[in-house]
Amino acid sequence: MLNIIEGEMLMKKSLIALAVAGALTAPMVAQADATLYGSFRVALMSADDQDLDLRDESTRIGIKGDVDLGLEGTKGLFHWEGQLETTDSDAYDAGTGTFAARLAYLGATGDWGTALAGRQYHPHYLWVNIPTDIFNTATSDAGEWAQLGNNQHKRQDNTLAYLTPVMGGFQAALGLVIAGSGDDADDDVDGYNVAAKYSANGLYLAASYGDVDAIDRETWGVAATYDIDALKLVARYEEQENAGVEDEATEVGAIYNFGEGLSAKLRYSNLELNGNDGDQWAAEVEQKLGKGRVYVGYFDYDSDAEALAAKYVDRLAIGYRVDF
Amino acid sequence: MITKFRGLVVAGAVALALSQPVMAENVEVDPWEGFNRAMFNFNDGLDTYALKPVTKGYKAVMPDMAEEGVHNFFENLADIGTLINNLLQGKFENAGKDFARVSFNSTFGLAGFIDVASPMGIEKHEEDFGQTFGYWGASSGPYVVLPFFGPTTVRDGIGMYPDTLVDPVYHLDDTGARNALYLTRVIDTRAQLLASEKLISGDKYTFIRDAYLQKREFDIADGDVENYDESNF
Repeated sequence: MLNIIEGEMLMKKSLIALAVAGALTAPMVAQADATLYGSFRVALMSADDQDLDLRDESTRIGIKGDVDLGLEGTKGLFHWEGQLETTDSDAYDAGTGTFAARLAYLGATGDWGTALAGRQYHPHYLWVNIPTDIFNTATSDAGEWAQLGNNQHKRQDNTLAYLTPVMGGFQAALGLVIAGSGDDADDDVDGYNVAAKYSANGLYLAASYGDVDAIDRETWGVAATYDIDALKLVARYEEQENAGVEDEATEVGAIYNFGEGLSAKLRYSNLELNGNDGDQWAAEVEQKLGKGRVYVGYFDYDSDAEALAAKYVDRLAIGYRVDF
Repeated sequence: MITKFRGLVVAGAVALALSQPVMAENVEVDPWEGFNRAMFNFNDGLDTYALKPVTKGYKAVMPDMAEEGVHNFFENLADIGTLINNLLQGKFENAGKDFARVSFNSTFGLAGFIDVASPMGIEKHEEDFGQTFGYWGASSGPYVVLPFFGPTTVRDGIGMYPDTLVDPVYHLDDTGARNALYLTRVIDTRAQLLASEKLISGDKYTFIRDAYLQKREFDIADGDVENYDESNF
């Protein structure tokens, strides 16, 4: 009897030893330094004179990491990010929605800067749009309505980019599109984008210029953000010339952080398309909850803005997001 | 012997000195006591024979959860008035939190029936126009008991009018629905008072008057009152 118990205890001990060993080896296997991450986002949209719409707000899942290249001071890196559709199965059937690549690039980074190749954010979107995009709703009929860089320079295939190291708060970037939309067989490079940013003491400044010769489009923009204690101010101006027609987007906004995850945002924006322009006023409250967040956004268009496009209608967005 | 006698005299004088301002204060805050007591008796009768039995019936019929939901619903509506009054008092941070409360409770909280904002950590405030006038420096004026509406002061009574204007229920077009909501709110308010009314001792009129006036002073100062200590009970 005693022996059996001892035997059981012995077995338990060796099982524990095994489990401990297993726990120790597991990180060894996963030592490829890759991060699996994701962000799931939905919003219930209530627009004037329209049905309620439960909408996916750019749910994505991705893998990124860096690898040892055996070089001193230079690492290899990779990043893939695909989209998921949480509310619409049609997107799966079409084969374009699920896991369609948002980002897919590789590169190398070191004290000399960073070089990237593949499908990636353009410097314009990365430095001018993202830092000033304060709202949770991603769609162009709500939070991202006045973003010219959103339409034209968000994520591009076939792109080479070089980013300088950060020097005294300054950084510059150059992106080259080898074969973008409207590919022109005559030119080796269809478009390019240069950008610079400065960041120090709560102040952030960025400027960008892009030219896509193949479709005769020039885009430039400037952005600024400033942190004063709990308050963050943002401003952005973009201009785009499409085959002679000039469009403009202006945005000024503020975020106030109440602490404990609660923040309120207010924004005025103006969009000029084909010679007509309109305004949008927007407000949002956001409560972060651990790795998740909820938000309620209000978007109010003036009548001129409503005339710009049918989708510019006053709306309320009730959103939920979880990240891992 | 003489010292003892002197001591008594001093004690008596001190007691007199202490009690006098209190008496003076009563006259000062409640110069219309006669009228007020008459109104109070009218309200008390109305309450005993109509409102309280109805409220008890309401509590008996309604499941606790539903009762809580109804209470949350009216509290959410009240947050709108609180938001406006916080703005008027220049308390922008509190106003921002009120806006967040109304936003989250009206949406995720299903039209306010569930108070999701409190567990999220967004604290609730209670402000009205009477408090705003007080915050601006207006003194309360004499204590008044209004028929049907109960205890108030001249200042707070005047504040009741703009309070009504910022009340979402007031802006309902459907008269039937509006009145039904008014009535439900009265019952809900009364239901909230059922527990605390057991604390009343002594002269009911004086007790309620003093409790009301102290509560208002406390609210206007947002709890930052002299001689107030939470542990001092």
